[in-house]
Amino acid sequence: MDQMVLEAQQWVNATYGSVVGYSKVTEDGATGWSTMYALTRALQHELGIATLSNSFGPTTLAALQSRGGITLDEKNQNLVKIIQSALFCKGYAAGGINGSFNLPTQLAVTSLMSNAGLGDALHGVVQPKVMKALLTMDAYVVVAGGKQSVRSVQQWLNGHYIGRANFFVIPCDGIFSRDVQKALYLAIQYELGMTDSQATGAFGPGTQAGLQAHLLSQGATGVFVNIFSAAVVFNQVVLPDDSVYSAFTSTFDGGLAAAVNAFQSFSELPVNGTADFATWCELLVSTGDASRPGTAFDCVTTITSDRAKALTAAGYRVVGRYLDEPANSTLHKKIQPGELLTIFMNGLKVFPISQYYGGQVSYFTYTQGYQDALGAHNAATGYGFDIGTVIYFAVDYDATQADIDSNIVPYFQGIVAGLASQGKKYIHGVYGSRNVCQQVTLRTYARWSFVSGMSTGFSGNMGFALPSNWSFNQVQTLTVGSGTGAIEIDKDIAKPGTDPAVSSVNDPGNPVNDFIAYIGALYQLAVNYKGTRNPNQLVLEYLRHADYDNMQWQKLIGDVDQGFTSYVDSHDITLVKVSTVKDPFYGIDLHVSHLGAAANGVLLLGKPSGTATNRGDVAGWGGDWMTFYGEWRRDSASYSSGATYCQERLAKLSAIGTFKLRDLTEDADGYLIAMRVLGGENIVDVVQDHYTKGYLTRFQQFFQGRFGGTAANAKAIAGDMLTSDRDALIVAGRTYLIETTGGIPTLDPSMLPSDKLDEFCQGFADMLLAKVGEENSKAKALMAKLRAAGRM
Amino acid sequence: MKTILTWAAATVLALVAAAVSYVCGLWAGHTLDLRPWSEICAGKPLDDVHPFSASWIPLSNMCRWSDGTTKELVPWYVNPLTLALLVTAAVCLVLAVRAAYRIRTDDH
Repeated sequence: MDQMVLEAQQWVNATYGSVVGYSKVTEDGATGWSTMYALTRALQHELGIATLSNSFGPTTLAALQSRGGITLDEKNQNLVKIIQSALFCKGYAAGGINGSFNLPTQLAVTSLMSNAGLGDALHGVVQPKVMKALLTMDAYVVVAGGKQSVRSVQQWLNGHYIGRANFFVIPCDGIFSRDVQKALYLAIQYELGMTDSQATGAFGPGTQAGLQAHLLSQGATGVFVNIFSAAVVFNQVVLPDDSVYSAFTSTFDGGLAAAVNAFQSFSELPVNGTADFATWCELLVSTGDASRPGTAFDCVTTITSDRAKALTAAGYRVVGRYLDEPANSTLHKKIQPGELLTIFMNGLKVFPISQYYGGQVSYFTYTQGYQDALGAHNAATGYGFDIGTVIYFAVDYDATQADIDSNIVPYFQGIVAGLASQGKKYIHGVYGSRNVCQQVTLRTYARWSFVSGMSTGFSGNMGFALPSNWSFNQVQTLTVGSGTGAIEIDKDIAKPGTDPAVSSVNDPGNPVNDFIAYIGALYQLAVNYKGTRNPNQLVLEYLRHADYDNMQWQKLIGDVDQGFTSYVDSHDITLVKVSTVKDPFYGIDLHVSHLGAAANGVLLLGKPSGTATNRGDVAGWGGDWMTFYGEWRRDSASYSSGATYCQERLAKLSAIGTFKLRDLTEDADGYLIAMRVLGGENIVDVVQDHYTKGYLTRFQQFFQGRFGGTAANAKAIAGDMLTSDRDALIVAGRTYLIETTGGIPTLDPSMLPSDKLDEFCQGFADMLLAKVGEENSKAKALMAKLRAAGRM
Repeated sequence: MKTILTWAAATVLALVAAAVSYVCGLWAGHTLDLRPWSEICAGKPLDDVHPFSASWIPLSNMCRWSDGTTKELVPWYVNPLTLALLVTAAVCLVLAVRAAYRIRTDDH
């Protein structure tokens, strides 16, 4: 509770409580839209507007403009009190709510203006647009998750275009949003010479034609380079060194060219490092240049042989088709008998989509997700789709962030539970707007995103970058072929190296089988080798030897038997060798060398007692955790809270970050495999069992086994990993990882205030608990509920 | 007496500088790094049997790729500098001992 916000609420209620059209605000001292609306209505009343509204619209603006804003010598004390109240609500100390436009109030207004990029000169008046900005919940400082680079662009846009009639102050919070994207469109239109009435803030034909005349390349300078680099900053382009491009510039330099190359590569555009038309479009609108050729499509129409031939001739190679449809549907959109054979015989591949309804928020519930997953599983099994196939579950409407939080994510959690209840034969992907895809991926680990880019006006597409795991981007509806070969399709841009799609069905092969066979072959060689070390240990050493056998690793957990490495390589293991294994739960590629290192460490050093940690931990989760700490400190300007950072970055599918879901999965699997081998089991049996059924509860086992099954233990162990000074080698390795990740100097964890470190470690424990919950509780609870209802 | 102290201080200083130089080599040469070797030596596939070669003296940490090429990660100047500082320390020590011997001889 903020005392001054409370005072503001009390004052506005006391002063306007009896005014017709005014709604009293709850006096709780918490700032929010309701208080801003109350102040807006109070302002309208003071300006003589009869019909009060929450909206600070054209009437309010015109009334303010007609009186020249609110000047320092304002006689109406209530107007000044509204300003002071709004300032307190936005976190600026205005000196008091006293109706006097005194120095503290003036300084607070200029501070806000400066933060918003509007300069720090008041010139004796609070301008109408500043007043409008005051009465929003927009922030003008970087908020959690925001970036200073994005804020710099926001400030620049405000400073440059605030004088234009339809440009209003945008937030400067470091977050790319719909309003910010619209402001960028306006900036382009202003610079193209459009009048205020022509500049609509929409990316229409006029704007596109104008951009055709502003193609840029390295060496270019000027305002269009500013706008172009702003768009690159907004799209959070990941550079080859894993950093995110952040330079807002008026000169098209080598750094910007490198970022453009990275963006073009990521977006599946020709890589030329220039601001060509396709790149402009891709940066600014979710379809990109919709006329560019695509190699994939999706459709509701049956693929006949004639249509398949027409599509193949037009360059299409992959088709998205529906697995099922509601019983009462007359669309016949699902795959028809014999259709898959036609698709494959004509050289096409297919990716399955599941959509029973999905057009409005009320449809999406956890239970519905669970049931849709069962339906999709049964349908996919009926068609013969093999283990590991990604099924895209559709969200076919403009879901807002609130919808995503309340319904869409629970729906996908239901899907995860439903697929898991059937043995996780299939893996879920997501179809929807950019924001839906990003959020569902972040929170439920959707393997791939099929983006509905064609819906350019969706609130979930404007102000959001293409998700890092995009596999298909739907960009244009068109008709291909003629006569019996004619078919209407939605053209998709396919991203090579992501979802390979399906080229056959009823293939009994399982990607995990290759890994199990590889372990079996290595174990046989280890037995035949007749070395001094245990064959199980030799297998793990071989798995890690290429990546985790340098000087520090040799000191940490011991060296690798070089003789065995040479022995294996002399027996031509290449035919069965695998370096990655597709995880049957998440569909992600696990790195065999990291898995081997994590397991080898635990096998050699065992599990420490109590809440202590040892070198075996460092070989697995501990090393990743140390690096993640460095990453948090590096990003601490945007993420003061360690718990928030963990929530948003730890063990995610994202391409950015050092401790991804893949790492955690490898760490957990390594630990579980090693502990069973230590218990006397053979590694081949253990691996086979783990990747046949053990993986379904891997995080539950890991949490119980290594962390004692309690959040308090997990937090304490995570803390010990970062602060323990019992082992000088661990301290040296930790210091190196933290300093090289966070940048010198990065505060050592032991130097951090204990409450901040506690919060960070609690984030680790919470993450583990969330993983356990995802695997376990909801699925069980719902299955019990469905059984009780007689539906299973 | 002042001469002895000067050479002794120079000896200690040279030894500390040698240690700093060596530690800098450890740091810059990824010798303390726990990250995957293929990330440290990114760009080409590593040699499968001997992906690295390393030694503590002289300090070396070398990527070995499958095409037969190699790259030393420890900066080239670390070992010569460390050696030069150690030699300097040794010379200073000898001079300190000699100065002490001369003072002792003169006293007699």
